[in-house]
Amino acid sequence: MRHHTCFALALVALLASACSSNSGPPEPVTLRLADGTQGIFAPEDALGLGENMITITLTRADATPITGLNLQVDAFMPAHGHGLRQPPVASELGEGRYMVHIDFHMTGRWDMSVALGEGEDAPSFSVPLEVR
Amino acid sequence: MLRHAITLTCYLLVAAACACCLEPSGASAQACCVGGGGQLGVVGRERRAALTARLGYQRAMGSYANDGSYHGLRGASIDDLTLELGGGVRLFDHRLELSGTLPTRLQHRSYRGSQGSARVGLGDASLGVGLMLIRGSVDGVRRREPGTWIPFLDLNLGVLVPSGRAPENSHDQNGADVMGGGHFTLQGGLRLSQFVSLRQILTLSVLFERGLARDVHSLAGASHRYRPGAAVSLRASWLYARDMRWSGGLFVTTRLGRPAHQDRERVAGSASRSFSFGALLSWVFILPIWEATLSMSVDPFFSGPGRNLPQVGPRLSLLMKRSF
Repeated sequence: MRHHTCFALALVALLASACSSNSGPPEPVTLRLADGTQGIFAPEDALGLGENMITITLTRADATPITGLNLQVDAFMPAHGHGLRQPPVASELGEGRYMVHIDFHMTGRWDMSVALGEGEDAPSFSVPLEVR
Repeated sequence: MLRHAITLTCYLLVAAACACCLEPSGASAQACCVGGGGQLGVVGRERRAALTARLGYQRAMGSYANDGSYHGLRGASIDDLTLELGGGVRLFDHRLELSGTLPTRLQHRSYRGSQGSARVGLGDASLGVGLMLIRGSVDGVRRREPGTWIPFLDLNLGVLVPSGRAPENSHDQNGADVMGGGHFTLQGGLRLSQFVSLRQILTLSVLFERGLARDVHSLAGASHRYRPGAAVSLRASWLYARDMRWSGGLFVTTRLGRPAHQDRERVAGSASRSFSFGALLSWVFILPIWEATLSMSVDPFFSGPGRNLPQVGPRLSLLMKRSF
């Protein structure tokens, strides 16, 4: 009987540990392109399954904000060989800030590509994201 | 809270099943006469053929990240219900076995900010051939009789056919219609079975899997040549036959996956690792042809044992087998 009680308590402890994995928003990721363009990628909350919002702040090498862009956003999961189910939506907030709404349907490592305009020649960022 | 309650219930059921298996019995038993140990499409050693149907349920409780850390699912609900039909036949003095399975899946996905969705479809089918390389002893190991030490050794070759919808062909926002891997997978393995006694069988299986490369496309139109990483699975099991009708056992399974390749480049951090354990309980309700097997298994839900696993949790299945 004592052994059964210990076993049940151990299970409860394990369940409790499983419940305590919530976390806040991750640290913003700062990346630079060869021409000095800087992008700061800041999720609004911890990235998880479903809808997520990521604020992108873009500045030139001289620190002036980049405005009026039509950002092309996509994401791919290289470890599993697939992309998103829904195209992300990017909108401009002003002063070089943009908001991206993106739906993830699987946990794990995603590579988000952010092209600063349309066309294959548009400069782009590749942002590693961990969805949990 | 509900999903944690379900997990706790599953653990308690596993514990109960283990207790049933470990309960001593004075009845005589023949471990050689039990079925395929709860495996789909596997014909019992003394049978000519088998038809099986397995109803399985899996609920995702969390995931393992690339660094091996475990994370409980937040704001998401992932449930899979699977009905698998399988069959197998033994030929040439029971040494050759041909088998196949075809799963039908009902999948439910609900994520934050989106409406839940449920989809039905075929999963990935499998075809296999098994060859008994060594016919072992079923008498149980006896110290002074070397012949009783000879184990069964089976060679298994198979292929997984991508009959389920691939991730890149999904039209559902939550990916509930993704029913398969999207690629052919070649399989080869060995199974070593030792009759420790008339009642007990120890089995060790190793399976090598190699997924074939395919072209995948992102929403933006980018195309990649993707090849999943090769993987090795190990499974150890212990089966105990209480009598002619009841048997039960425990098993552990681990799978080690090599990194995937994209456009011939190795994808950093894409290696995977899984570990699960479980128990099964079989009941031959019409001797010797009808058998039901209840099986439960779980992945640990703490950091360390897994890596790069998008969804892990308890699995429960009921298998019905008609032997011929």
